[in-house]
Amino acid sequence: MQEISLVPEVIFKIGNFDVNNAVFATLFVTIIILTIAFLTTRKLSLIPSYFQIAIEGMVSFFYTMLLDTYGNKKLAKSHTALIVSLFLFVLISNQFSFIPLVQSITINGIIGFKPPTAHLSQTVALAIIVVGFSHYLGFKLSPLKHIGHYIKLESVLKIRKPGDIGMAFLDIFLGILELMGEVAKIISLSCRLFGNIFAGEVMIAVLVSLSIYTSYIVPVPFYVLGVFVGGIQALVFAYLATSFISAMAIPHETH
Amino acid sequence: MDTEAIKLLSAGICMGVGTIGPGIGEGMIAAKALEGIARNPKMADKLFSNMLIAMAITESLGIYALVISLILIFAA
Repeated sequence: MQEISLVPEVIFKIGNFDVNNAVFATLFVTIIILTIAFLTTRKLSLIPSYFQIAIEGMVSFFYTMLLDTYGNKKLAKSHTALIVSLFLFVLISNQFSFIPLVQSITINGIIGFKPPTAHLSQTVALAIIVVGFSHYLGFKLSPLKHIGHYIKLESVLKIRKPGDIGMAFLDIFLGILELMGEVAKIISLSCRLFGNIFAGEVMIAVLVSLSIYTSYIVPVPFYVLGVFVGGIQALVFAYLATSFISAMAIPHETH
Repeated sequence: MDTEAIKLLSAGICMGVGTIGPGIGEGMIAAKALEGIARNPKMADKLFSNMLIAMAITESLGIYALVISLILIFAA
């Protein structure tokens, strides 16, 4: 049975830096994305090729989505770059193991390429990028208000009579809850993607290793399911990233 | 019982109990979405895509249970 591990296997080392199969695959995903970007931007034309239509459709899909949530063309345009690149990265990494024969390439007896998003470290990194960026935007918009949203000292300063102390404690507690909510955002965003992709991998691996009869035709529907889930999860990741970022980027008067 | 048996048992219980809620939730989402589509078939495309998103978000609860049980089996 193919070894199932939560920790990616180290292929080789450069100095102190472990190059494991997730990092290796991430490199190739980056190369694929760069190639797509290069091919689309070389010969843009008013009468677009099919490839250009596909890419333009994807970008404008996210652009209209952002425009609907922001109502601000400049902000929507600048954030489309981030959202589309997140979407493309997650999509291509999810579908990485469905490239024919890629699973049979071994380096030093270890499978060379695993889908990068099937490792928790990768998805946590993506989630931290999203949440960190949203906080950066919120801080840039109004630094004091943003910090005051989490550390609610405002009500402590407002204490006039003994009854207010209780309210102040409640406010501080609510601030701590908000802080924990931010950590929960990272966990939920990363675990959702990781769980879906890793579960698909494990399911196919278990099915193939069950018996000789289930190793050829039987996994095919599960591969189809994997492709479907990968696409959906990439879309969900982009949607959630949009909602997290837009919640911070737009000035809100209520609460 | 030794530790290994408890790990496997708890992973099984985790999946079994943890998927009840998401299962009910996804069923409700699908039911409501289909109701909406039946009432207004013109909106089918938009409702369907929104349904998929909502389902994926609901499913993540089940996925958390899965992650826990995978950690129990392979990592702990």
